[in-house]
Parts: sequence; C-alpha cells; structure tokens
Amino acid sequence: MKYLRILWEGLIPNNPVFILALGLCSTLAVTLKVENAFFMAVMVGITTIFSSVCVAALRYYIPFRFRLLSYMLIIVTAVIAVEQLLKALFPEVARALGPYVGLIVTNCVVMGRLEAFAVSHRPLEAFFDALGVALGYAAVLLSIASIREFLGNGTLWGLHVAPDFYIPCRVFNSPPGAFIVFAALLFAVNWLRSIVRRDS
Amino acid sequence: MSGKTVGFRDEIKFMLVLATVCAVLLLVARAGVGSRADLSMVAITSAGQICKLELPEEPVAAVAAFNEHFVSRTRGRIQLWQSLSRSNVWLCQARGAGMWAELALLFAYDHMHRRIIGMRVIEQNETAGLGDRIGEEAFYEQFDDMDAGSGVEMKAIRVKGNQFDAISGATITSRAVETVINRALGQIEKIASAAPPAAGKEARP
Repeated sequence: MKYLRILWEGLIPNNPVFILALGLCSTLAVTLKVENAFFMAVMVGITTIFSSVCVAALRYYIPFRFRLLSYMLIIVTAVIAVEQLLKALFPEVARALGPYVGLIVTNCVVMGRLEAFAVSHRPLEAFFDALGVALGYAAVLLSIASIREFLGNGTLWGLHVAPDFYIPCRVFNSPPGAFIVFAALLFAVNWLRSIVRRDS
Repeated sequence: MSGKTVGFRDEIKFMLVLATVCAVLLLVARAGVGSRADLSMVAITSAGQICKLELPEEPVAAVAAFNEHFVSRTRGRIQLWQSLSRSNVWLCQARGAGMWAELALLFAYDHMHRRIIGMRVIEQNETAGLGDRIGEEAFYEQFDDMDAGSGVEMKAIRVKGNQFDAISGATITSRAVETVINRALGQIEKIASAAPPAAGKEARP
C-alpha cells in the first residue's frame, strides 16, 4: 500500500510536467509524433529509475559536497547506455529525436527526483517514486503527442485515423502548436484540480 | 593528519571509485552495441551504392549483409571498415565540423591504387540552397574514381585529378569536406599499413 501511494504521488500529485513544471523543453520538442514521444518517455523512465535506485543504494556513501557530481556521473552513465541502445536498435527514432536523447542528462525531472526523494529513501521506495514520475511524464508526453499528431497529420503512430474530409492543421506540427496544446492541457488539468479540491 | 583531511580523502576516494565504475559500465555498453550504434542505415545504403553491393532494406538483414562484406577496424570519429573480398578497399565514415554543425561523410578508398572509389554525405546541416548541395549527385560524381594519392584538394575550377569543384557560396562547407576527407585519408594510411589482410570471417577481431 505504501509503495502504491508513492507510485500515485509521482504519477498525479507530483506530476513532473503539469504540477512541477519540469522537463518542459524536451516535452515540447519531441511531441511531434507519438512514436518519438513514446521512446523519449521510455528512455527518461529508464534513466530516472536506474539513477534513483543507484543514488538510494549509495545514499550513505555519497559525500554531501559532491552529491551533484555523483548524481551527474550516474545519470550520464545511464543516458549514454540507453542512447547507444536506441541508436543500435531504432536508428531512425534516434535520428528523429536528435540531441534530446543526450540532453536527458540535464533533464530536471531526473535530477529533481534524485535530490528530492531518492537521496533520503530506501532503494525500493526510490524505485516506485521514479516509476511513478516516469509514468506521469510518459502520460503527458503521449497526450500532447497524440493530439499534435492527430490534428497536425491526421495520424496516430503513423497510421491514418482521421476521417477523409479532415484537412490537417499544420500549425500543430510547428513549435507554436506544441505550446497551444500544452497550454490547453495545463488549463484542463488545473481546472480539474480546482474542482476536486473544492469538492473535497 | 586532521579528521577533516581524512574525511576529504575518503570523499575523493569514493568519487574516484564511482567514476571508475561508471566508466567500466559505459565501456561494457559500448562493447556490446557500439558497433551497431555507429552503423546507421544511411551509412549502409550509401556503402551499397558506392561499392555497388545489393544490400537488403530491412535494418537487421542489412546490418548482417554489411558485416558479410566488411570488417570493422577502428571506431570513433573516423571509423574504418576493411572489405573482406578486396582487402585493399577500405570504407571510411569520417566526421568533422561543417559550417553550422557536424557533417559525416562516407567514402570507399582503394589503398593499393590510392583512389577514392566514391563518396556520400550521410549527415549534414549546412545552409539550405548553398552548403547542402554537397548532398547532390553532381557533387558526389566528382569523387568517383578520384586520384587521392596526395590527398584531395578543393578548387574553384577542377584542373587536376585530385581536385573537386567548390560549391559557389559555400566555401566553408567545401573546405570542411576537403579537411574531413584528408584527415580520414591520413588515418587510413596509418591503419592500412599496419592491418592484416582481411580474408573471410576468420580475420575479424
């Protein structure tokens, strides 16, 4: 039960993008297609989980004054390893994601969870927290990407799903389209939260 | 020695151990999938075009077919593969600075006759309409069976066998191509003179 609560905390109440407003650059940049967003979410998830568990396991040994350096070493190791795997297994996706895979190193979501949670909890708790955050990040990325790909191209994961009469609105393929969709979703989430808070 | 100094030394020791473990993990990951990660489908397709090989379009089959024809000799910014059927033929993927971003070239080189067999640009982000013309067929054709015994040379008008026409309005990009190829040729000379002859799969490292 305790672990489920940690998982839930990371998924909704501490959602990295909508609530904590972390990792916005990559969120807006890689959500042109659902496929790219999915792989980005998977890689951020693997990196977050790996680094959280490592930091939690080493929390009594990591020197306080060198803690950020230690986090960076662990994150860089995870990111380079998953980047190599992506390039080897899905080279086209790696090319589409461009520099954003390497930039997971500087993603505030990863570093934020290490500093806020993993460094003061046990590895299993850190695992569930990282999993929750990763799922929350993935949910946001996939929602934005689905809306953008559908409205901008009439497709979902490359498959044509829009009715024949639909004319794709190309603005959703451009950076302003990402901001529009993100703002609309943020508005909806905040509106729902206010309703829930008022009812409770 | 004060407790403060001892504590600081322990912290440094921990950081060194952590850095070593991370480096080892990276080396293991690199050794596992590094060669496949460096080999993109664009590079394989380009290699097929240059060396006139029939390679499948499906990525896994294409990698396997490529490995039937070439054996990797070096990795890094200048990657070299030696042909298994013709040991004097080397395939080179070289990276270098372009005008705006890094560019990557792939060319085949006949070490015995000191000639470039063909060249393709596999990655570039040069100026649209100017520098990006290095990706056009007309530019590639200049490198077909090109004399490269003393390196290649960029010129406004091609006169000698080792020269290629610079693209008008894209001197920096053309110069970058010249630099990348010449640097790679130097590397090939070093590696080729020391490498054993490739003879089938047994020669693989």
